[in-house]
Amino acid sequence: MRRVRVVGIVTACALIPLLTPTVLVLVASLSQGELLTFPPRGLTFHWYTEMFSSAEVWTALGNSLYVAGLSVLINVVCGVPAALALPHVGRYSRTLFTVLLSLGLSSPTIVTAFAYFDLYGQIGVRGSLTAVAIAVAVTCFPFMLWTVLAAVEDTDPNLAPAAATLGADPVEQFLFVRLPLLAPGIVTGALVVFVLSITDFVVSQVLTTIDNQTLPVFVYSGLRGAISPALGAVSTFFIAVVALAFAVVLRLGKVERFLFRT
Amino acid sequence: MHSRFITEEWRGLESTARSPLWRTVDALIVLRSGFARAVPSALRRLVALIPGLLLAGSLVAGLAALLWRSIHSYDSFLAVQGDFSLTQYSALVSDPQFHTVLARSLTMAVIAPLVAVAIGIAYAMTLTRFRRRWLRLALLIAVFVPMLTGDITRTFGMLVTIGPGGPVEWLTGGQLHLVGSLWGISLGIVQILLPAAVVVLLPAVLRINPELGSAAATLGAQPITVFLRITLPQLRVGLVAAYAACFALTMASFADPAILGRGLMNFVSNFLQDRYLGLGNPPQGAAIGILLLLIVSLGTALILLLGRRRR
Repeated sequence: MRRVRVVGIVTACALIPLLTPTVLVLVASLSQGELLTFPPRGLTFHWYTEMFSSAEVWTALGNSLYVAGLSVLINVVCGVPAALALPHVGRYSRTLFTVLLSLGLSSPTIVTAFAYFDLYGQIGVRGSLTAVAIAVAVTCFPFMLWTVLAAVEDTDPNLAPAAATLGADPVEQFLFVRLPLLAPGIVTGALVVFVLSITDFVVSQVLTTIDNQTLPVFVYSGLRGAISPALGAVSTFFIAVVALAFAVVLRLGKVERFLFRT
Repeated sequence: MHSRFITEEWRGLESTARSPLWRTVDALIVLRSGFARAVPSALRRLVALIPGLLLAGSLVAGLAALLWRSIHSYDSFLAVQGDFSLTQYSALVSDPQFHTVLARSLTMAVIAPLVAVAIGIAYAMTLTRFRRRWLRLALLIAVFVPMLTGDITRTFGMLVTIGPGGPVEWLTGGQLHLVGSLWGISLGIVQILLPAAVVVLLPAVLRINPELGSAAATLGAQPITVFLRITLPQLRVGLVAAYAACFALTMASFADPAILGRGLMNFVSNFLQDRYLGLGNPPQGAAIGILLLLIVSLGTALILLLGRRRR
Protein backbone atom coordinates (compact mmCIF):
# COMPACT_ATOMS: atom_id res chain seq x y z
CA MET A 1 0.00 0.00 0.00
CA ARG A 2 3.01 2.28 0.51
CA ARG A 3 3.64 2.56 -3.23
CA VAL A 4 0.18 3.99 -3.75
CA ARG A 5 1.00 6.77 -1.33
CA VAL A 6 4.29 7.71 -3.03
CA VAL A 7 2.54 7.77 -6.39
CA GLY A 8 -0.23 9.93 -4.94
CA ILE A 9 2.21 12.44 -3.46
CA VAL A 10 4.03 12.82 -6.79
CA THR A 11 0.70 13.42 -8.51
CA ALA A 12 -0.36 16.01 -5.95
CA CYS A 13 2.98 17.80 -6.35
CA ALA A 14 2.62 17.74 -10.13
CA LEU A 15 -0.80 19.36 -9.86
CA ILE A 16 0.60 22.53 -8.29
CA PRO A 17 2.76 23.67 -11.25
CA LEU A 18 0.09 22.39 -13.65
CA LEU A 19 -2.73 24.47 -12.25
CA THR A 20 -1.20 27.49 -10.49
CA PRO A 21 -0.36 29.41 -13.69
CA THR A 22 -3.90 29.07 -15.04
CA VAL A 23 -5.43 30.14 -11.73
CA LEU A 24 -3.03 33.06 -11.53
CA VAL A 25 -4.05 34.25 -14.99
CA LEU A 26 -7.57 34.59 -13.63
CA VAL A 27 -6.30 36.34 -10.48
CA ALA A 28 -4.07 38.63 -12.52
CA SER A 29 -6.87 39.71 -14.80
CA LEU A 30 -8.83 40.94 -11.77
CA SER A 31 -6.05 42.79 -9.95
CA GLN A 32 -5.54 46.52 -9.74
CA GLY A 33 -2.36 48.38 -10.66
CA GLU A 34 -0.47 48.82 -13.92
CA LEU A 35 2.01 46.04 -13.15
CA LEU A 36 1.36 42.63 -11.74
CA THR A 37 2.40 42.11 -8.16
CA PHE A 38 1.90 39.34 -5.69
CA PRO A 39 -0.08 39.21 -3.46
CA PRO A 40 -2.66 40.97 -5.66
CA ARG A 41 -4.11 44.30 -4.58
CA GLY A 42 -7.78 45.01 -4.92
CA LEU A 43 -10.43 43.70 -7.29
CA THR A 44 -11.38 45.32 -10.57
CA PHE A 45 -13.09 44.50 -13.84
CA HIS A 46 -11.33 47.46 -15.40
CA TRP A 47 -9.06 45.31 -17.59
CA TYR A 48 -11.98 43.44 -19.10
CA THR A 49 -13.80 46.60 -20.07
CA GLU A 50 -10.57 48.05 -21.42
CA MET A 51 -9.64 44.98 -23.47
CA PHE A 52 -13.06 44.33 -24.87
CA SER A 53 -13.72 47.92 -25.81
CA SER A 54 -10.58 48.01 -27.94
CA ALA A 55 -11.14 47.60 -31.65
CA GLU A 56 -7.81 45.83 -32.12
CA VAL A 57 -8.84 43.01 -29.80
CA TRP A 58 -12.10 42.53 -31.66
CA THR A 59 -10.35 42.42 -35.04
CA ALA A 60 -7.83 39.89 -33.73
CA LEU A 61 -10.65 37.85 -32.21
CA GLY A 62 -12.51 37.89 -35.53
CA ASN A 63 -9.38 36.71 -37.34
CA SER A 64 -8.87 33.94 -34.80
CA LEU A 65 -12.46 32.76 -35.10
CA TYR A 66 -12.19 32.74 -38.90
CA VAL A 67 -8.99 30.68 -38.81
CA ALA A 68 -10.37 28.25 -36.23
CA GLY A 69 -13.73 27.86 -38.01
CA LEU A 70 -12.13 27.20 -41.37
CA SER A 71 -9.63 24.80 -39.80
CA VAL A 72 -12.49 22.80 -38.23
CA LEU A 73 -14.31 22.72 -41.57
CA ILE A 74 -11.21 21.49 -43.43
CA ASN A 75 -10.54 18.87 -40.77
CA VAL A 76 -14.10 17.52 -40.85
CA VAL A 77 -14.19 17.39 -44.65
CA CYS A 78 -10.77 15.71 -44.91
CA GLY A 79 -10.66 13.74 -41.67
CA VAL A 80 -14.01 11.92 -41.57
CA PRO A 81 -13.76 10.23 -45.01
CA ALA A 82 -10.10 9.39 -44.36
CA ALA A 83 -10.90 7.79 -41.00
CA LEU A 84 -13.74 5.80 -42.58
CA ALA A 85 -11.56 4.52 -45.42
CA LEU A 86 -8.32 3.92 -43.51
CA PRO A 87 -9.32 0.62 -41.79
CA HIS A 88 -10.21 -0.88 -45.19
CA VAL A 89 -6.99 -0.32 -47.14
CA GLY A 90 -4.21 -2.91 -47.24
CA ARG A 91 -1.71 -3.31 -44.43
CA TYR A 92 1.31 -1.69 -46.06
CA SER A 93 -0.56 1.14 -47.71
CA ARG A 94 -2.30 1.78 -44.38
CA THR A 95 1.08 2.29 -42.68
CA LEU A 96 2.13 4.60 -45.50
CA PHE A 97 -1.10 6.62 -45.32
CA THR A 98 -0.97 6.85 -41.52
CA VAL A 99 2.60 8.19 -41.63
CA LEU A 100 1.66 10.65 -44.36
CA LEU A 101 -1.52 11.82 -42.63
CA SER A 102 0.18 12.33 -39.24
CA LEU A 103 3.01 14.31 -40.80
CA GLY A 104 1.45 17.52 -39.45
CA LEU A 105 2.19 16.37 -35.91
CA SER A 106 5.50 14.60 -36.45
CA SER A 107 7.10 17.52 -38.23
CA PRO A 108 8.20 20.19 -35.71
CA THR A 109 5.65 23.03 -35.68
CA ILE A 110 8.13 25.72 -36.59
CA VAL A 111 9.35 23.68 -39.57
CA THR A 112 5.75 23.26 -40.74
CA ALA A 113 5.24 27.01 -40.33
CA PHE A 114 8.27 27.91 -42.42
CA ALA A 115 7.50 25.20 -44.98
CA TYR A 116 4.17 26.94 -45.61
CA PHE A 117 5.87 30.35 -45.45
CA ASP A 118 8.10 29.26 -48.32
CA LEU A 119 5.32 27.60 -50.27
CA TYR A 120 2.97 30.59 -49.90
CA GLY A 121 5.77 32.94 -50.88
CA GLN A 122 6.24 31.04 -54.12
CA ILE A 123 2.59 30.87 -55.08
CA GLY A 124 1.97 34.39 -53.82
CA VAL A 125 -0.71 33.91 -51.16
CA ARG A 126 1.41 34.95 -48.18
CA GLY A 127 -0.55 37.01 -45.66
CA SER A 128 -3.98 35.57 -46.50
CA LEU A 129 -5.97 34.30 -43.52
CA THR A 130 -7.33 31.36 -45.50
CA ALA A 131 -3.75 30.25 -46.16
CA VAL A 132 -3.04 30.50 -42.42
CA ALA A 133 -6.11 28.36 -41.71
CA ILE A 134 -4.86 25.61 -44.05
CA ALA A 135 -1.48 25.49 -42.31
CA VAL A 136 -3.15 25.42 -38.88
CA ALA A 137 -5.54 22.70 -40.08
CA VAL A 138 -2.61 20.49 -41.11
CA THR A 139 -1.02 20.70 -37.64
CA CYS A 140 -4.34 19.68 -36.03
CA PHE A 141 -5.27 17.00 -38.58
CA PRO A 142 -3.84 13.97 -36.68
CA PHE A 143 -6.01 14.76 -33.64
CA MET A 144 -9.15 14.75 -35.79
CA LEU A 145 -8.08 11.55 -37.53
CA TRP A 146 -7.36 9.66 -34.29
CA THR A 147 -10.56 10.72 -32.59
CA VAL A 148 -12.75 9.67 -35.51
CA LEU A 149 -10.71 6.48 -36.04
CA ALA A 150 -11.30 5.56 -32.39
CA ALA A 151 -15.03 6.14 -32.92
CA VAL A 152 -14.97 3.98 -36.07
CA GLU A 153 -13.24 1.15 -34.20
CA ASP A 154 -15.74 1.57 -31.38
CA THR A 155 -18.82 0.91 -33.54
CA ASP A 156 -20.24 -2.59 -33.84
CA PRO A 157 -19.16 -3.99 -37.25
CA ASN A 158 -22.36 -6.07 -37.45
CA LEU A 159 -24.64 -3.04 -37.58
CA ALA A 160 -24.05 -2.17 -41.25
CA PRO A 161 -24.74 -5.74 -42.51
CA ALA A 162 -27.83 -5.83 -40.27
CA ALA A 163 -29.10 -2.62 -41.84
CA ALA A 164 -28.37 -4.06 -45.28
CA THR A 165 -30.44 -7.15 -44.45
CA LEU A 166 -33.32 -4.82 -43.64
CA GLY A 167 -32.98 -3.25 -47.04
CA ALA A 168 -30.79 -0.22 -46.49
CA ASP A 169 -28.75 0.92 -49.45
CA PRO A 170 -25.08 1.77 -48.64
CA VAL A 171 -26.06 5.44 -48.73
CA GLU A 172 -28.82 4.86 -46.18
CA GLN A 173 -26.52 2.68 -44.07
CA PHE A 174 -24.06 5.54 -43.91
CA LEU A 175 -26.57 8.32 -43.31
CA PHE A 176 -28.87 6.61 -40.81
CA VAL A 177 -26.68 4.01 -39.09
CA ARG A 178 -22.98 4.83 -39.19
CA LEU A 179 -23.06 8.63 -39.13
CA PRO A 180 -25.26 8.94 -36.00
CA LEU A 181 -22.98 6.47 -34.21
CA LEU A 182 -19.90 8.40 -35.28
CA ALA A 183 -21.35 11.83 -34.47
CA PRO A 184 -20.02 12.07 -30.87
CA GLY A 185 -16.54 11.18 -32.09
CA ILE A 186 -16.72 13.73 -34.89
CA VAL A 187 -17.95 16.46 -32.53
CA THR A 188 -15.20 15.64 -30.03
CA GLY A 189 -12.58 15.80 -32.78
CA ALA A 190 -14.02 19.06 -34.12
CA LEU A 191 -13.93 20.65 -30.65
CA VAL A 192 -10.34 19.56 -30.03
CA VAL A 193 -9.36 20.99 -33.42
CA PHE A 194 -11.26 24.22 -32.69
CA VAL A 195 -9.50 24.68 -29.35
CA LEU A 196 -6.07 23.87 -30.81
CA SER A 197 -6.65 26.18 -33.79
CA ILE A 198 -7.96 29.18 -31.87
CA THR A 199 -5.04 29.02 -29.43
CA ASP A 200 -2.44 28.29 -32.10
CA PHE A 201 0.58 30.53 -31.76
CA VAL A 202 3.67 29.13 -33.47
CA VAL A 203 2.22 28.75 -36.97
CA SER A 204 0.21 31.98 -36.82
CA GLN A 205 3.07 34.17 -35.67
CA VAL A 206 5.08 33.14 -38.72
CA LEU A 207 2.30 33.33 -41.28
CA THR A 208 0.22 36.32 -40.17
CA THR A 209 1.27 39.89 -40.86
CA ILE A 210 0.77 42.96 -38.68
CA ASP A 211 -2.54 43.59 -40.48
CA ASN A 212 -4.20 40.25 -39.84
CA GLN A 213 -2.89 39.16 -36.45
CA THR A 214 -4.77 36.45 -34.63
CA LEU A 215 -5.51 36.86 -30.93
CA PRO A 216 -2.56 34.77 -29.59
CA VAL A 217 -0.12 36.72 -31.79
CA PHE A 218 -1.68 39.97 -30.57
CA VAL A 219 -1.16 38.92 -26.96
CA TYR A 220 2.41 37.85 -27.72
CA SER A 221 3.36 41.31 -28.93
CA GLY A 222 2.18 42.59 -25.54
CA LEU A 223 4.10 39.91 -23.61
CA ARG A 224 7.48 41.17 -24.70
CA GLY A 225 7.21 44.40 -22.74
CA ALA A 226 6.19 44.83 -19.11
CA ILE A 227 3.50 42.30 -18.20
CA SER A 228 0.18 44.10 -17.95
CA PRO A 229 -2.89 42.52 -16.30
CA ALA A 230 -4.81 43.46 -19.45
CA LEU A 231 -3.29 40.45 -21.18
CA GLY A 232 -4.74 38.30 -18.42
CA ALA A 233 -8.20 39.43 -19.47
CA VAL A 234 -7.62 38.15 -23.02
CA SER A 235 -6.05 34.93 -21.75
CA THR A 236 -9.13 34.39 -19.60
CA PHE A 237 -11.09 34.25 -22.85
CA PHE A 238 -9.03 31.24 -23.97
CA ILE A 239 -9.56 29.55 -20.61
CA ALA A 240 -13.31 30.09 -21.03
CA VAL A 241 -13.23 28.56 -24.53
CA VAL A 242 -11.38 25.51 -23.23
CA ALA A 243 -13.74 25.14 -20.26
CA LEU A 244 -16.74 25.27 -22.59
CA ALA A 245 -15.21 22.68 -24.91
CA PHE A 246 -14.49 20.41 -21.93
CA ALA A 247 -18.09 20.73 -20.77
CA VAL A 248 -19.44 19.63 -24.18
CA VAL A 249 -16.91 16.82 -24.63
CA LEU A 250 -17.59 15.43 -21.16
CA ARG A 251 -21.31 15.37 -21.84
CA LEU A 252 -20.61 13.32 -24.95
CA GLY A 253 -18.56 10.93 -22.80
CA LYS A 254 -16.31 9.85 -25.66
CA VAL A 255 -12.98 11.08 -24.26
CA GLU A 256 -12.92 8.52 -21.47
CA ARG A 257 -13.70 5.65 -23.80
CA PHE A 258 -10.92 6.84 -26.06
CA LEU A 259 -8.32 7.34 -23.33
CA PHE A 260 -9.14 4.42 -21.08
CA ARG A 261 -9.38 1.77 -23.75
CA THR A 262 -6.86 -1.04 -23.39
CA MET B 1 -20.27 -10.44 -48.34
CA HIS B 2 -23.87 -11.56 -48.30
CA SER B 3 -25.36 -8.16 -47.46
CA ARG B 4 -24.46 -6.70 -50.86
CA PHE B 5 -26.67 -9.21 -52.66
CA ILE B 6 -29.51 -8.57 -50.29
CA THR B 7 -29.32 -4.89 -51.19
CA GLU B 8 -29.51 -5.86 -54.86
CA GLU B 9 -32.75 -7.76 -54.09
CA TRP B 10 -34.31 -4.74 -52.42
CA ARG B 11 -33.32 -2.39 -55.18
CA GLY B 12 -35.93 -3.88 -57.50
CA LEU B 13 -38.70 -2.29 -55.42
CA GLU B 14 -40.34 0.89 -56.69
CA SER B 15 -39.58 4.02 -54.63
CA THR B 16 -42.75 5.91 -53.78
CA ALA B 17 -41.14 8.53 -51.54
CA ARG B 18 -42.71 11.99 -51.59
CA SER B 19 -40.85 14.07 -48.98
CA PRO B 20 -37.80 16.08 -50.12
CA LEU B 21 -35.54 14.26 -47.62
CA TRP B 22 -36.26 10.88 -49.17
CA ARG B 23 -36.04 12.32 -52.67
CA THR B 24 -32.49 13.48 -51.80
CA VAL B 25 -31.64 10.08 -50.39
CA ASP B 26 -32.93 8.41 -53.56
CA ALA B 27 -30.88 10.79 -55.69
CA LEU B 28 -27.79 10.00 -53.60
CA ILE B 29 -28.40 6.27 -54.02
CA VAL B 30 -28.60 6.64 -57.80
CA LEU B 31 -25.45 8.78 -57.77
CA ARG B 32 -23.54 6.28 -55.64
CA SER B 33 -24.53 3.20 -57.61
CA GLY B 34 -23.58 4.96 -60.85
CA PHE B 35 -20.25 5.88 -59.29
CA ALA B 36 -19.76 2.33 -58.00
CA ARG B 37 -20.36 0.91 -61.47
CA ALA B 38 -17.90 3.32 -63.08
CA VAL B 39 -15.02 3.03 -60.60
CA PRO B 40 -13.40 -0.27 -59.51
CA SER B 41 -13.74 -1.00 -55.79
CA ALA B 42 -10.02 -0.76 -55.01
CA LEU B 43 -9.98 2.81 -56.31
CA ARG B 44 -13.23 3.70 -54.53
CA ARG B 45 -11.56 3.36 -51.12
CA LEU B 46 -8.79 5.71 -52.21
CA VAL B 47 -11.31 8.35 -53.26
CA ALA B 48 -12.28 8.86 -49.62
CA LEU B 49 -8.64 9.35 -48.70
CA ILE B 50 -8.06 12.01 -51.36
CA PRO B 51 -9.06 15.12 -49.34
CA GLY B 52 -6.84 14.05 -46.44
CA LEU B 53 -3.97 13.22 -48.74
CA LEU B 54 -4.33 16.58 -50.50
CA LEU B 55 -4.06 18.31 -47.12
CA ALA B 56 -0.99 16.27 -46.15
CA GLY B 57 0.36 16.78 -49.67
CA SER B 58 0.37 20.54 -49.21
CA LEU B 59 2.72 20.07 -46.26
CA VAL B 60 4.92 17.74 -48.31
CA ALA B 61 5.03 20.40 -51.03
CA GLY B 62 5.96 23.00 -48.42
CA LEU B 63 8.74 20.83 -47.04
CA ALA B 64 9.98 20.26 -50.57
CA ALA B 65 10.03 24.04 -51.13
CA LEU B 66 11.98 24.40 -47.88
CA LEU B 67 14.47 21.72 -48.94
CA TRP B 68 14.87 23.34 -52.36
CA ARG B 69 15.56 26.72 -50.79
CA SER B 70 18.07 25.24 -48.35
CA ILE B 71 20.37 23.99 -51.12
CA HIS B 72 21.03 27.45 -52.54
CA SER B 73 23.65 30.00 -51.65
CA TYR B 74 22.47 33.44 -50.57
CA ASP B 75 23.87 36.92 -50.72
CA SER B 76 22.48 38.61 -47.61
CA PHE B 77 23.86 42.00 -48.71
CA LEU B 78 22.02 42.08 -52.04
CA ALA B 79 19.27 39.77 -50.69
CA VAL B 80 19.32 37.52 -53.74
CA GLN B 81 19.29 33.76 -53.88
CA GLY B 82 22.38 32.39 -55.63
CA ASP B 83 23.33 29.11 -57.26
CA PHE B 84 22.83 25.57 -56.17
CA SER B 85 25.28 24.72 -53.39
CA LEU B 86 25.57 23.11 -49.99
CA THR B 87 27.13 26.19 -48.35
CA GLN B 88 24.20 26.62 -45.96
CA TYR B 89 24.79 23.22 -44.42
CA SER B 90 28.58 23.54 -44.28
CA ALA B 91 28.21 27.03 -42.75
CA LEU B 92 25.90 25.62 -40.07
CA VAL B 93 28.23 22.73 -39.26
CA SER B 94 31.06 25.17 -38.53
CA ASP B 95 28.88 27.79 -36.80
CA PRO B 96 29.73 27.89 -33.05
CA GLN B 97 26.41 29.66 -32.31
CA PHE B 98 24.51 26.79 -33.87
CA HIS B 99 26.56 24.33 -31.82
CA THR B 100 25.57 26.08 -28.57
CA VAL B 101 21.90 26.18 -29.53
CA LEU B 102 21.86 22.56 -30.70
CA ALA B 103 23.66 21.33 -27.58
CA ARG B 104 21.21 23.24 -25.38
CA SER B 105 18.17 21.81 -27.20
CA LEU B 106 19.52 18.27 -27.22
CA THR B 107 20.41 18.34 -23.52
CA MET B 108 16.92 19.59 -22.70
CA ALA B 109 15.36 17.02 -25.05
CA VAL B 110 17.16 14.21 -23.24
CA ILE B 111 16.54 15.36 -19.65
CA ALA B 112 13.07 16.95 -19.71
CA PRO B 113 11.36 13.79 -21.08
CA LEU B 114 12.93 11.76 -18.23
CA VAL B 115 11.28 14.07 -15.68
CA ALA B 116 8.00 14.16 -17.59
CA VAL B 117 7.83 10.37 -18.00
CA ALA B 118 8.69 9.81 -14.31
CA ILE B 119 5.89 12.13 -13.20
CA GLY B 120 3.68 10.71 -15.96
CA ILE B 121 3.95 7.16 -14.57
CA ALA B 122 2.88 8.31 -11.11
CA TYR B 123 0.10 10.43 -12.60
CA ALA B 124 -1.26 7.69 -14.83
CA MET B 125 -1.18 5.15 -11.99
CA THR B 126 -3.08 7.46 -9.66
CA LEU B 127 -5.53 8.19 -12.46
CA THR B 128 -6.34 4.53 -13.02
CA ARG B 129 -6.58 3.74 -9.29
CA PHE B 130 -9.41 6.17 -8.62
CA ARG B 131 -12.78 4.49 -8.49
CA ARG B 132 -14.87 7.64 -8.68
CA ARG B 133 -15.47 8.99 -12.16
CA TRP B 134 -15.35 12.68 -11.25
CA LEU B 135 -11.96 12.31 -9.54
CA ARG B 136 -10.51 10.63 -12.61
CA LEU B 137 -11.98 13.30 -14.84
CA ALA B 138 -10.67 16.09 -12.60
CA LEU B 139 -7.14 14.70 -12.81
CA LEU B 140 -7.48 14.23 -16.56
CA ILE B 141 -8.69 17.79 -17.06
CA ALA B 142 -5.93 19.15 -14.81
CA VAL B 143 -3.23 17.58 -16.94
CA PHE B 144 -4.77 18.81 -20.20
CA VAL B 145 -5.59 22.38 -19.17
CA PRO B 146 -2.08 23.81 -19.74
CA MET B 147 -1.78 22.15 -23.14
CA LEU B 148 -5.22 23.10 -24.42
CA THR B 149 -5.26 26.71 -23.23
CA GLY B 150 -2.47 27.23 -25.74
CA ASP B 151 1.11 28.41 -25.68
CA ILE B 152 0.22 32.01 -24.98
CA THR B 153 -2.10 31.59 -22.02
CA ARG B 154 0.18 28.93 -20.57
CA THR B 155 3.40 30.91 -20.83
CA PHE B 156 1.63 34.06 -19.68
CA GLY B 157 0.51 32.16 -16.59
CA MET B 158 4.05 30.92 -16.05
CA LEU B 159 5.39 34.46 -16.41
CA VAL B 160 2.94 35.66 -13.78
CA THR B 161 3.92 32.77 -11.49
CA ILE B 162 7.70 32.89 -11.74
CA GLY B 163 8.20 36.40 -13.08
CA PRO B 164 9.06 39.63 -11.26
CA GLY B 165 6.56 40.30 -8.47
CA GLY B 166 5.10 36.80 -8.80
CA PRO B 167 4.34 34.33 -5.99
CA VAL B 168 7.57 32.35 -6.45
CA GLU B 169 9.70 35.45 -5.91
CA TRP B 170 7.42 36.49 -3.07
CA LEU B 171 7.78 33.11 -1.34
CA THR B 172 11.56 33.00 -1.73
CA GLY B 173 12.03 36.62 -0.73
CA GLY B 174 13.09 37.83 -4.18
CA GLN B 175 16.01 35.40 -4.36
CA LEU B 176 14.82 33.12 -7.14
CA HIS B 177 14.78 34.60 -10.66
CA LEU B 178 13.56 31.92 -13.04
CA VAL B 179 12.54 34.02 -16.04
CA GLY B 180 15.28 34.06 -18.67
CA SER B 181 16.98 30.96 -17.24
CA LEU B 182 16.96 27.35 -18.37
CA TRP B 183 15.09 26.37 -15.20
CA GLY B 184 12.15 28.56 -16.13
CA ILE B 185 12.09 27.17 -19.67
CA SER B 186 12.28 23.58 -18.43
CA LEU B 187 9.32 24.19 -16.10
CA GLY B 188 7.27 25.34 -19.06
CA ILE B 189 8.42 22.45 -21.24
CA VAL B 190 7.64 19.76 -18.66
CA GLN B 191 4.18 21.29 -18.40
CA ILE B 192 3.38 20.49 -22.05
CA LEU B 193 5.22 17.17 -21.99
CA LEU B 194 3.08 15.82 -19.15
CA PRO B 195 -0.23 15.45 -21.03
CA ALA B 196 1.59 13.74 -23.90
CA ALA B 197 3.38 11.38 -21.51
CA VAL B 198 0.16 10.59 -19.60
CA VAL B 199 -1.87 9.89 -22.76
CA VAL B 200 0.78 7.58 -24.18
CA LEU B 201 1.33 5.79 -20.86
CA LEU B 202 -2.36 5.31 -19.97
CA PRO B 203 -3.04 2.23 -22.15
CA ALA B 204 0.16 0.61 -20.84
CA VAL B 205 -0.76 1.35 -17.21
CA LEU B 206 -4.25 -0.05 -17.77
CA ARG B 207 -2.72 -3.26 -19.07
CA ILE B 208 -0.62 -3.84 -15.91
CA ASN B 209 -1.58 -7.14 -14.32
CA PRO B 210 -2.14 -6.38 -10.60
CA GLU B 211 -1.87 -10.06 -9.68
CA LEU B 212 1.79 -10.19 -10.68
CA GLY B 213 2.59 -7.45 -8.15
CA SER B 214 0.60 -9.18 -5.43
CA ALA B 215 2.33 -12.48 -6.23
CA ALA B 216 5.74 -10.85 -5.89
CA ALA B 217 4.70 -9.25 -2.60
CA THR B 218 3.52 -12.65 -1.31
CA LEU B 219 6.93 -14.04 -2.14
CA GLY B 220 8.45 -11.34 0.09
CA ALA B 221 9.42 -8.57 -2.36
CA GLN B 222 9.65 -5.03 -1.01
CA PRO B 223 7.26 -2.49 -2.65
CA ILE B 224 10.24 -0.79 -4.33
CA THR B 225 11.42 -4.14 -5.77
CA VAL B 226 7.92 -4.89 -7.01
CA PHE B 227 7.81 -1.51 -8.74
CA LEU B 228 11.26 -1.80 -10.33
CA ARG B 229 11.18 -5.46 -11.35
CA ILE B 230 7.51 -6.21 -11.96
CA THR B 231 5.64 -3.00 -12.76
CA LEU B 232 8.24 -1.10 -14.82
CA PRO B 233 9.05 -3.98 -17.22
CA GLN B 234 5.34 -4.29 -17.99
CA LEU B 235 5.30 -0.60 -18.91
CA ARG B 236 8.32 -0.89 -21.20
CA VAL B 237 6.62 -0.30 -24.57
CA GLY B 238 4.62 2.64 -23.22
CA LEU B 239 7.69 4.13 -21.56
CA VAL B 240 9.71 4.05 -24.76
CA ALA B 241 6.86 5.53 -26.82
CA ALA B 242 6.24 8.27 -24.25
CA TYR B 243 9.94 9.13 -24.12
CA ALA B 244 10.13 9.31 -27.92
CA ALA B 245 7.06 11.57 -28.15
CA CYS B 246 8.41 13.86 -25.42
CA PHE B 247 11.81 14.01 -27.14
CA ALA B 248 10.19 15.18 -30.38
CA LEU B 249 8.05 17.75 -28.54
CA THR B 250 11.02 19.20 -26.64
CA MET B 251 13.19 19.47 -29.75
CA ALA B 252 10.38 21.37 -31.43
CA SER B 253 9.61 23.70 -28.49
CA PHE B 254 9.36 27.31 -29.53
CA ALA B 255 7.08 29.33 -27.26
CA ASP B 256 8.76 28.44 -23.95
CA PRO B 257 12.28 29.56 -24.94
CA ALA B 258 10.88 32.62 -26.73
CA ILE B 259 8.70 33.86 -23.86
CA LEU B 260 9.99 32.28 -20.65
CA GLY B 261 13.59 32.56 -21.87
CA ARG B 262 13.05 36.21 -22.82
CA GLY B 263 14.93 35.47 -26.05
CA LEU B 264 18.15 34.88 -24.10
CA MET B 265 18.10 31.09 -24.35
CA ASN B 266 17.43 30.19 -27.97
CA PHE B 267 16.46 26.69 -28.95
CA VAL B 268 16.76 25.33 -32.49
CA SER B 269 13.25 26.55 -33.37
CA ASN B 270 13.98 30.12 -32.24
CA PHE B 271 17.35 30.03 -33.96
CA LEU B 272 15.58 29.05 -37.19
CA GLN B 273 13.21 32.00 -36.98
CA ASP B 274 16.07 34.38 -36.12
CA ARG B 275 18.07 33.30 -39.13
CA TYR B 276 15.12 33.24 -41.51
CA LEU B 277 13.37 36.47 -40.54
CA GLY B 278 15.66 38.34 -38.14
CA LEU B 279 18.94 38.08 -40.00
CA GLY B 280 17.17 37.79 -43.33
CA ASN B 281 18.89 34.68 -44.61
CA PRO B 282 16.00 32.42 -45.71
CA PRO B 283 18.12 29.59 -47.21
CA GLN B 284 20.06 29.26 -43.95
CA GLY B 285 16.80 29.19 -41.98
CA ALA B 286 15.49 26.54 -44.39
CA ALA B 287 18.64 24.47 -43.85
CA ILE B 288 18.12 24.64 -40.07
CA GLY B 289 14.52 23.52 -40.60
CA ILE B 290 15.57 20.51 -42.66
CA LEU B 291 18.23 19.60 -40.08
CA LEU B 292 15.70 19.92 -37.25
CA LEU B 293 13.26 17.67 -39.10
CA LEU B 294 16.03 15.11 -39.64
CA ILE B 295 17.17 15.23 -36.00
CA VAL B 296 13.63 14.80 -34.70
CA SER B 297 12.73 11.91 -37.03
CA LEU B 298 16.04 10.08 -36.63
CA GLY B 299 16.09 10.66 -32.85
CA THR B 300 12.55 9.35 -32.45
CA ALA B 301 13.28 6.34 -34.66
CA LEU B 302 16.48 5.62 -32.71
CA ILE B 303 14.69 5.75 -29.34
CA LEU B 304 11.94 3.42 -30.57
CA LEU B 305 14.52 1.05 -32.05
CA LEU B 306 16.72 0.94 -28.94
CA GLY B 307 13.65 0.42 -26.78
CA ARG B 308 12.54 -2.52 -28.86
CA ARG B 309 15.83 -4.35 -29.22
CA ARG B 310 16.57 -5.05 -25.58
CA ARG B 311 13.22 -6.65 -24.91
